Amino acid sequence: MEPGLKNIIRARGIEKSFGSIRVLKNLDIDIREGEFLAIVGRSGVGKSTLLAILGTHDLAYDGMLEVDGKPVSALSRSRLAALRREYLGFVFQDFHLLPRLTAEENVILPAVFSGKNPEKARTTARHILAGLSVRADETPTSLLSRGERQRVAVARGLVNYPSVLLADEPSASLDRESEQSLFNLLDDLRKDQGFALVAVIHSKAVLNRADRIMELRDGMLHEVV
Amino acid sequence: MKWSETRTALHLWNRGHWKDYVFSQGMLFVASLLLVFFISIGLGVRRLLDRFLAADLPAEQVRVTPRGLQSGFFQTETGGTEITEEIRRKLEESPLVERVDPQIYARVPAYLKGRLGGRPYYTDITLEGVTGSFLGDSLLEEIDWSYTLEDSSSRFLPLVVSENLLLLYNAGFAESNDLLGLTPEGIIGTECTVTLGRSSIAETERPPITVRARIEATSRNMNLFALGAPFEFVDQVNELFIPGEPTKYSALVITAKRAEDVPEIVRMAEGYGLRAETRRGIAQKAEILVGSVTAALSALAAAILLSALASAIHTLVMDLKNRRFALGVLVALGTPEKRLATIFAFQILFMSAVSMILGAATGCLLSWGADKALLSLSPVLRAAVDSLVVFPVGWLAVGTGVMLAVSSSIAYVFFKRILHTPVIELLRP
Repeated sequence: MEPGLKNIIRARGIEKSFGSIRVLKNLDIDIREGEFLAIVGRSGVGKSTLLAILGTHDLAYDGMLEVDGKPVSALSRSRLAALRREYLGFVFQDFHLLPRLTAEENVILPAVFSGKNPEKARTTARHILAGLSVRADETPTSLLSRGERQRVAVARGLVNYPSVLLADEPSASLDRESEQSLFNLLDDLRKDQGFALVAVIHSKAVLNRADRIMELRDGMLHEVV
Repeated sequence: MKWSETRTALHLWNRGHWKDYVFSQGMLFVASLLLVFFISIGLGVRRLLDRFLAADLPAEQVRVTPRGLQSGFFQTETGGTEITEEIRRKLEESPLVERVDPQIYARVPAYLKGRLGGRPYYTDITLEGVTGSFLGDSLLEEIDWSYTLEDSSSRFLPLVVSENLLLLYNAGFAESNDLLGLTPEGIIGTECTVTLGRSSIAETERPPITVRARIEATSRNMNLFALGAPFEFVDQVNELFIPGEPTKYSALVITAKRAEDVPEIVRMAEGYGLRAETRRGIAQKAEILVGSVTAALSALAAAILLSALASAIHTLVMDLKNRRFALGVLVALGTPEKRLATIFAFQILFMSAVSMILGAATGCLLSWGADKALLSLSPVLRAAVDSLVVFPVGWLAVGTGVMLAVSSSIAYVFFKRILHTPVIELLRP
């Protein structure tokens, strides 16, 4: 761990099984402030499962998970919601956008439901969407291209200025140029906002941007040098 | 949470779902409308029946009639035991009996002629002789009920009209002949002539006699079927037209010394081959009829209510079920459950309350309109009641509140169940 950088997420001895299949085995991981951690691994090895656990969406596991020093298992439902809102941004593999809403509405929805001023949320959303080259018009997201929807999902993950953005294959639907453009923007935003980026990535073209690369293999993480 | 934030949240949440939402609210609207409509009309019908069937016979009275039904000049059945002077005397002599009030039909054809509502009026009639005690003190306060043929030159023959007869007249005869419907207030004081010994379909060998008469009162006594006249007068008329014929009573109203003796008196009357009816029997029949009508209307209202309620709940729940995934996304992104609950409580509870109050108000308006329309179309009903609907505001408020509570609670419980489902499961396609 570099001096001066604290762990935003700390996981120890994470175990996760689906029936008799142990997907994660005594897994440890630290995610440091502002770093870009790339997670690689073969399909079906449990990368999305790990991200769901780190994102506190999946709470059915054994082991210890802390976010900003707070043990997740000890949190009440309302504190857990606050933790998700204040520390964690999430980009789902299948985007999970609400198809009848526009890009801007999808981005502001969590903020509005969290009691934030709709106009302020709208201004932030427009800024982030513009940075990601997404048109903020009245088009429902169901009519947007897959690449556009992916960028809207990224924008939604960033709208609450999280400490960590967990992204499950954020560039899977993008061409090489768009992928580079997305990661250029994420780099800029990371420098600007200081969030850590944990992304499941298959593309070798962006792996060289990562501060650390870890491979999930046999239920455990192995640092790739 | 400020109203502007709630409004924006609701607006975004319902985008593209308004049709479903309006449909579910529409179901609640219709449910409360039907509930109010059927309850108010149902209770109104019950009140109408109660009024028709109300008989103020005391519990210790027994009405005894022949098994064959004779109505004045007409005999609809023959062969049964008739109530003779001897039977009357035997019943009067019973130690259980306080008093016997006889009724007797004038067994001669008769008609009434006069002016009603400014128009000449003629009708065949049946006169029924009753005693003053049969009519009761309240009716006799202002009427001199003693009358014989000798009084005909100096006094009007006092008549009491059965309200049952009035209803039959209004319900059938008046409507089919385009005549005015009659109310009790409208006919009291009407003067006319009564001719005995002739009617439009029959006459006697003896020349008819005509007396001046006045309708002095109306009676709800269920034992009075025709035009009531003093007993002595009718008895005298029968003797005049059918001399030597023994008196046959149309009915005897027997007052027992104690209400507990009524069953014994019934057995005694039935022992003579007569039909005996008690207040309890009449009331039971009325209760069965009123109860059946009320039960039918209540069952109909309940069926409509349940189906509308089930439909509304189903729509609300299906709407939430279809949006489990969207709720999962919101929870995954850190939306506080309390805020979600507040917003959906507002959406479900407040909007449902508005829909149901509007439905109840429309139901009141509809039943009020139906009441006005039916009363304007039917003089019979107009004569019988002021209003066909009853608005028990307290009960309607309770009913609407219960519906609101049931539908909202079920939808809210379902909503809470979704919120307590693990996020990872909500996000599964």
